[in-house]
Amino acid sequence: MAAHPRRKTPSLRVRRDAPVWVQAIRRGDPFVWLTGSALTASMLMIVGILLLIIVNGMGSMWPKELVRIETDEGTPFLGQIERRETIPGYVEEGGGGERFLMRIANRDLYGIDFRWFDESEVVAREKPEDALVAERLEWGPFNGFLVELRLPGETIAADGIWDRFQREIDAAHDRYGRIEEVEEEEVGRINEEIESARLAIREIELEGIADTPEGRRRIAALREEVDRWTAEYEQLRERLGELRRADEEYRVVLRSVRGEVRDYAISHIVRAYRPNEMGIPGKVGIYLSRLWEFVSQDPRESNTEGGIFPAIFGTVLMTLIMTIAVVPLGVLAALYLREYAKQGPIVSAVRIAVNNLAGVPSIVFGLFGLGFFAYLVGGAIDSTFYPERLPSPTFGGGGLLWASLTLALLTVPVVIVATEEALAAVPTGIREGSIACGASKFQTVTRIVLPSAAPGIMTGAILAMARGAGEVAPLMITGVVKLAPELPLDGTFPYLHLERKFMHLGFHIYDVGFQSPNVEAAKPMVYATTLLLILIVVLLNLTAIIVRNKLRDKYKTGAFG
Amino acid sequence: MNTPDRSGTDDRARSHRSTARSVLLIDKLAGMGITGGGLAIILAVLGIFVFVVVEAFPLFLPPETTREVRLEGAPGDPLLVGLNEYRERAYVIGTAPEVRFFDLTDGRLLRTVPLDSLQGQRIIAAARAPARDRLALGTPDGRILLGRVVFDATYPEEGGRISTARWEPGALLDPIAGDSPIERLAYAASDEGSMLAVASRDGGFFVRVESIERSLLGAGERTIRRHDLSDRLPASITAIAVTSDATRLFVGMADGGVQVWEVDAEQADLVETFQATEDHTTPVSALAVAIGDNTVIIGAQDGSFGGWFPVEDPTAGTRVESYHNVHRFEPHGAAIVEIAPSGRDRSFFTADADGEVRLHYLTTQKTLLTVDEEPPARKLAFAPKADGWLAGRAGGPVDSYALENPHPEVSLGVLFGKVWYEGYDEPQHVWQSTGMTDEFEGKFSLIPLLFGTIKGTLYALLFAVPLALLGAIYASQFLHYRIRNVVKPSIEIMAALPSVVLGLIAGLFLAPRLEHVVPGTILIFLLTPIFALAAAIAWKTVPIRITSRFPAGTEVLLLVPVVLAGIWISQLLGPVVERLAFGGDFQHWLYDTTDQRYDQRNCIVVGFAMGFAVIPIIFTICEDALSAVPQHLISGSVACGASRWQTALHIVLPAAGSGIFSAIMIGFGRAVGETMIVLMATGNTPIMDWSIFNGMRTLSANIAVEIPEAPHRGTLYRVLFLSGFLLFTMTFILNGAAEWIRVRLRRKFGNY
Repeated sequence: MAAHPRRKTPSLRVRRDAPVWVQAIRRGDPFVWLTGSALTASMLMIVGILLLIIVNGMGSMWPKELVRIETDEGTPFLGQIERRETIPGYVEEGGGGERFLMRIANRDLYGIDFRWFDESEVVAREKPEDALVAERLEWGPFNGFLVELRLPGETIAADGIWDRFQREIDAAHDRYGRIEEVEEEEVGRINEEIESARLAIREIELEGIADTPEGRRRIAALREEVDRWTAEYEQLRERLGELRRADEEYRVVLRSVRGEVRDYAISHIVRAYRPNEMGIPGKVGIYLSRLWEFVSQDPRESNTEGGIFPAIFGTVLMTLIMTIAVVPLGVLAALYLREYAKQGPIVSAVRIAVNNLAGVPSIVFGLFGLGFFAYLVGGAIDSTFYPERLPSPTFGGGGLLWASLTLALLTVPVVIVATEEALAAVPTGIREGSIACGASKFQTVTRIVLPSAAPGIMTGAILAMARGAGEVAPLMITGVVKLAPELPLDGTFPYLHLERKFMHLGFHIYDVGFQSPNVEAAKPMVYATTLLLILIVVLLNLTAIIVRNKLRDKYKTGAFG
Repeated sequence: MNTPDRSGTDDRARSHRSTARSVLLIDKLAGMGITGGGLAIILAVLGIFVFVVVEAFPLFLPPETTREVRLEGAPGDPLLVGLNEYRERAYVIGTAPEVRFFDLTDGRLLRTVPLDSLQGQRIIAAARAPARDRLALGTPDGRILLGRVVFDATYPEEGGRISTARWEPGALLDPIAGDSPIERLAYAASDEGSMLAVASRDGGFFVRVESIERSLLGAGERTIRRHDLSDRLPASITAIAVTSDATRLFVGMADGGVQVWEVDAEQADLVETFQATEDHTTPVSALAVAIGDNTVIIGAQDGSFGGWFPVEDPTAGTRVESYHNVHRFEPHGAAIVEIAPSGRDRSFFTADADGEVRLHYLTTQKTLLTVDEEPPARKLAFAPKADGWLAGRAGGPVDSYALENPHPEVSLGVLFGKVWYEGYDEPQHVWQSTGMTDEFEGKFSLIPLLFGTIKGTLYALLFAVPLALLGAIYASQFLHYRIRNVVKPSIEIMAALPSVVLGLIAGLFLAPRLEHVVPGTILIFLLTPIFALAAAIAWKTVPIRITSRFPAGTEVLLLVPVVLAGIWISQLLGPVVERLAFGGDFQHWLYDTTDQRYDQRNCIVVGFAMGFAVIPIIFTICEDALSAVPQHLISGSVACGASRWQTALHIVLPAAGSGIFSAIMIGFGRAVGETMIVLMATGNTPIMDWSIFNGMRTLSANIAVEIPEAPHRGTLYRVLFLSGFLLFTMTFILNGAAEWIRVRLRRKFGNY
């Protein structure tokens, strides 16, 4: 790399009479273009990846048209064509042709969702106008045709059936929503009462007063309470059963392309549409309804369908708690390093060490979080405050709090570095002015220095959030799960449940994309989730970049102020 | 710190202007608070390192043993000692026909149970089935009493635990070996049957096999068969051992040979005879079978001992296995008289004729402890949970010891050296932390993981460094400032992309597509640079009327179609090349000609994804370093007539050399610690193979995969912390060195 310039001097001479391109080579222009191509390639990769995710993420919810094909064996299939590829393998052995992947759905009938078809085995194809896709709560979508509606007291098979079907779906959703509400709220409440009574009994036993008359009286009272709640629970279950049975009376009969006829409770149909006869507005409608479901609903079918609301919620809450923890810590440390510590070799060494921490692999922080927070601190909390729940851990395993704190540690260098930079950028003149006016150092720091450094600190906080929101590896081992039964924030005391495990967008991507039993069906969800995560992270970063650039301009002009 | 009042001499004025006390106080307190808090935070953050070390350190602590209590034992030398899993009850069998039970917590003799059927006899030989307290006791008149010690524990209402022990007599067998006194016994019993090997004083050797066929209804059909092997022995018997599943029998002989027998109710087959001692005059003196029934531990009269298991002989060329002395140890000073293997792991005690007791671990070939107390130890027993042991000493006393040996299977040699594991044909670096059975031995070599880490990192850098470095040279030296304002934020966005996203693209999108277009992809890296060079030369022939519209530094725009064309044409040519050079299918060709399997998730995929993750880091730091080269150097060079490329190559690049080096180091550090990409884009198999067409497992991905299953403070848990420590140190050193270089670089240019 460091060739001695003097030896190279003769080659610098370019003969004027040589052709233009020889001169260009001599002058090294092609190499400039070569370096340029590296930059171009890098930029193209960024654009390519972003485009890939945007197209796949946004396109995944667009309703695709249904194609009916017939194979040379005479079997008909109805489905959406997902993608095509060239058949691999030696040409002699049948490679080289085209094949396509079709979502034939109806998993309850066929056992599989997706099937590859060689182009050569397809003998006929058409797009039947009245083919429908019915997305179900269970078993994925149903591709087929509408036969009739069986409602209490009437059976509809004539004209207008499609509109009636759509209206009945809406009505069924209202009914079903009410049932679910009762289930969630009432049953949840009763379960909680029973659990708390059970824990109270255990606590009395642990205190060792179970044999005293007082203890026995209290236990008896608690047992009675449990019985009362159990009885109430039975009643409620009966009522729910009735509601369910009533709901199940509304049924729809569907026919698959091979003629199998099935009937389903209408409330179990999420939505139904006929993609082949739909215009663009109708498709947009379906698209928006799917999008809304995606961001607002719980996942279904082992995370391959439904929404990702709990993951969004978990990510946001975790990032917030992390930010609350990391900003004061980082600012305090930066204040010390920049304003209070005596600048010298030790402080520079500390600074380098803190900088280096940003380069330590995140999984090491995860190890620390698990070993220190969850096992050590959490274990101590459990044995002190929740002995009645042992051996099942409360704080002694991964959870929201520990994951947030782990990420706070991971991101604290980001905040320290950004804050230090911001503090350093505050002109000395301002400080001296403040001191000269008689303010104490603390007053100067809190009223002059910190406010002017605030945008810089904010940049650091936003960068930390962006880093935290996108980090997955340490969370995997400190409290993120693939499916959390409850949100960490709800209506029962103490409202914010820091010990609960939670869902996270990044982990959701990993889990659904790589651990799911039905990866092909999960792909739309994965890409959509990825798009959402990238949007969050990129928006946070862009904000930070803009704030920082504004800041730079401000100090550029104010440097001599 | 505070603001002194220097305003004058007027007292009134001073009192007016002096700072309020509270302000001073707050200032002081705040100063202390911030200093204390700041220091505490920094220490706490650095404490991560300390914590990781503290969690990993106990791996290397030597084991400890302490004598807890001495039981008075039975008169005479003990023949058999044993204890329960809580180390609360023990039994001792001496020569008298009785079983003595002791309380191990205080050493009290609890009960002496007479063996009624042996009244008036002495016991002269005793054997215990491995890992079970089923016993066989032999007498001088040739009879053998079977029976078992039953340990129980009850948990009363008021808490705690009560251990109990009782003797449950079994069958009294008629003399198997004639009337000659029984000299040696070996016994094993399982649900499918039992095996009892008997050597009598007059040279008789018999094996009694009992097999129980269980039908579905549960009624067992018993077959008992006696094999007479007396005349199959080339020398007199000196030791016998039986595997715990009662199928294999090892016979040690006076000429130092060991016979291996497979015995069942139908037949007895001699599998192998091998020489276990130095020469034919050194007899085998003790035998024991280690957990898993594959390894036999052989002790000799001269004090040497070792572990043997069947190994496929590479020279024989057949798939015949024969016993090899795989695990070797420092020999004792006197004949080995007793070997007591653990039922938990592969550690075992040996005792020699002088009474010295040592604890060893088979796989690590390490002697962990030496205990030499009087009177000399004759019989040993490992506690079922391997947390203690008993030593029956000459003359009767029995000592109970506690043993603290939580991680015997790990040593520096295991972590970083080749280890010969049971079932392998040679010493290897193996990582395999969990297995299917209880007998499974964790294999904790960090070498395959280190290898995988380095492999993945190198392929990533191979992809990233050229792109990032060349790109940075262009961006810093040639790029038009307007385009630069777009490029730099884009690169920052690239840096901000979560690694899980890159892993997803690599694993779910790239890997399945790449496997069909491998030759085309390789072509991209050849063709695109050639296209760029060609485009530059072609550009010179374009009329100046057009070229003048593109000022210097906008070549990147022109290059977009060129690079795209390079990629497109490579993909077009790919199948052609595949047909011409690789017979139409690259994967088959690869397997046929080089015997390498093409993994779908391989190093090309990882190199791309991880390269993508480190490009922005290397690019940014390189760009900073290159831009920091003072303008007057560049101006000087250009003024002397050098072209912009010559300036960049000969002036700027050397000046920023150390900065570029540090950028690569930081990129290396980032790639070393990357977890999600590796987890998603490789098969995560801990293999050691440099091929770009298969995957690997890295230290970081290994932690992510294994820690959720690792029991708290178990061996795996601590080994994972150790690998965390390695990662921490590696990245810390890399980043620290890079930072130091950059600081020096900054200083250097500060002097211009």
